[in-house]
Amino acid sequence: MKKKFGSKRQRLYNSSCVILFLLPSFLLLAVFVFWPMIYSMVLAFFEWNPLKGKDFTGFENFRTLVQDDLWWTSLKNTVYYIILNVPLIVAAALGLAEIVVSVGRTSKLFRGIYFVPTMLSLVATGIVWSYLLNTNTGVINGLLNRIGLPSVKWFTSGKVAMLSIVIVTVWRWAGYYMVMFVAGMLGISEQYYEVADLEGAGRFQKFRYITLPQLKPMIYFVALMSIIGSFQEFDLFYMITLGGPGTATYVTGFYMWQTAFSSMKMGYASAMSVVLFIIVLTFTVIQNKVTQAD
Amino acid sequence: MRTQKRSKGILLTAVAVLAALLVLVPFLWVLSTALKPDNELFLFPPRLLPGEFAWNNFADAWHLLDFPRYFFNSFMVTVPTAFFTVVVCSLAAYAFTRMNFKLRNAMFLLYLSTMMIPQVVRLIPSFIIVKNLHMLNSYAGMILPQIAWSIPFGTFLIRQFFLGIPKELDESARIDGAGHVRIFRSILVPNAVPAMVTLATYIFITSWNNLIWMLVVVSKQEKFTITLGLATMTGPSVDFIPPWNEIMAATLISILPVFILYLFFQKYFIQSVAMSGIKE
Repeated sequence: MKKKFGSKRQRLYNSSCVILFLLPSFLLLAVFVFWPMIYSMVLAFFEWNPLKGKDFTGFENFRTLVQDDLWWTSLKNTVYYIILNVPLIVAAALGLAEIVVSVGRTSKLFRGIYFVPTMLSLVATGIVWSYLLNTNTGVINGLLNRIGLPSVKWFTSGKVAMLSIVIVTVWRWAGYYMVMFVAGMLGISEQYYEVADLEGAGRFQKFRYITLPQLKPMIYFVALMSIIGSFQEFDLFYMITLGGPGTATYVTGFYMWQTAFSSMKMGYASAMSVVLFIIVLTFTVIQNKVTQAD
Repeated sequence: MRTQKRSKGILLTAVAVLAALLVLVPFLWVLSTALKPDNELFLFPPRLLPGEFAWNNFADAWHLLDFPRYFFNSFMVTVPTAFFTVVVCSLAAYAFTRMNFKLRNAMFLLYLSTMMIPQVVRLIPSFIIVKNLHMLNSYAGMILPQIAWSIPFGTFLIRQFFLGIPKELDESARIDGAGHVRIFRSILVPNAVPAMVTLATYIFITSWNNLIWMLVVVSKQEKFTITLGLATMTGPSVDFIPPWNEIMAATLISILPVFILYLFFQKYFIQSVAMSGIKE
């Protein structure tokens, strides 16, 4: 009440305080988030090499993009990566979370262990796994040979390379999303499980008929986060394959980075980023619709 | 009945241990490789324990990269990034939980929505801005955008925590004549230390591990962070690749600070990720 009828001075004080508290974050967001977003859309209509200068070219970049085979390849590879990656990450994270929640006294220990890969930079992850899965000298092929199986060309065969990157991605991220699922599972009311116990339900049934439905919104959220994450995955591809062999692991994030910062075609790369943004936005909207429909 | 339950427990523990091994064995193998002498690297069948421990690999690896400088740069970037992210986000969270102003909820949604923008979209313009501000190859250019990009998540996290601090506390301070600045400093901040440590740990580690922005903004070796340094040591973009045992030793040295931090702040880091999954 008091606030509403506060004196003019009071109101002035209040609004200057709001500005004081919000200004630092707003300024940073404006310069490095809002402005870049607008600027990207502007740049997409220019041909811009920072060493030479810029020319307005209208829709030329988008026209080139539609005819750019490498772009379509990278888009196809990215979709392939996501389709393999996201279900596996969600399943692995759910599995780990179920273990952590039901294992009892040692649950904190296991949670801590499963989370360890999350600490590792993707750079280090890439180095470690390009050694483990090395075609000629890697330990995994060594073990396969040991039990009489042939070597697999993990990162050197166009057919297998993307699959291998998926293995690495799941290893690196499962523990991250596990933590969210653990929090979600602990939030489910005990009563459901008590009733299920009385009915004589087993562990699998409880997971299938209580845990999964209760976690549904969180599963959608994790799926969306890992879709967005996979869309921009760059580090692993940079460290392990550089898009190869051939163009088998050329993904959009990597192609865009290369176009902007190796070929210095900033306008063209901006056009790519705008298209990527629209795709991610579409996913987000669809996810929101699906979540609300439930 | 009882034995059945126990056998189920054993099965579960067995699965748990198996999963733990899948996570940990790569690390053990890295350590074992880092300790192997050159002539044991390609033994068949592969052996986990080195026949002879080659500790000098670590000494050799130390010369592969300019570790002291890269570590120094990493700290010079990550510590201010984490610190100022916490400051900026706490201030914003205070405004979003303790002040009434027009468009408050709309503003908060605007902050949050930027979480969904893929980073590739802001990469090129941010590079141009940093270049125009003459901040390429400078700590400021490495730090400021990273703070900005952490604001949505950081503000969300601290706001959640501030909402849990009873408003009666600031009411009583207000009666004593305290203004916003004093309430923020003497009531909210001291009560939100766990949330701030959580955020700081999270930002520290993501910033320590950042590659793509460093590739964009840093070209002079004297400003390389350890992660960037590691990425220039090996991989398909590098022409001369050192022997694997030295690479593994260098990788281990580079991740040591983060792992020590993890041992001490595990609880906070796990909490920060858990909270990012909680929507409203």
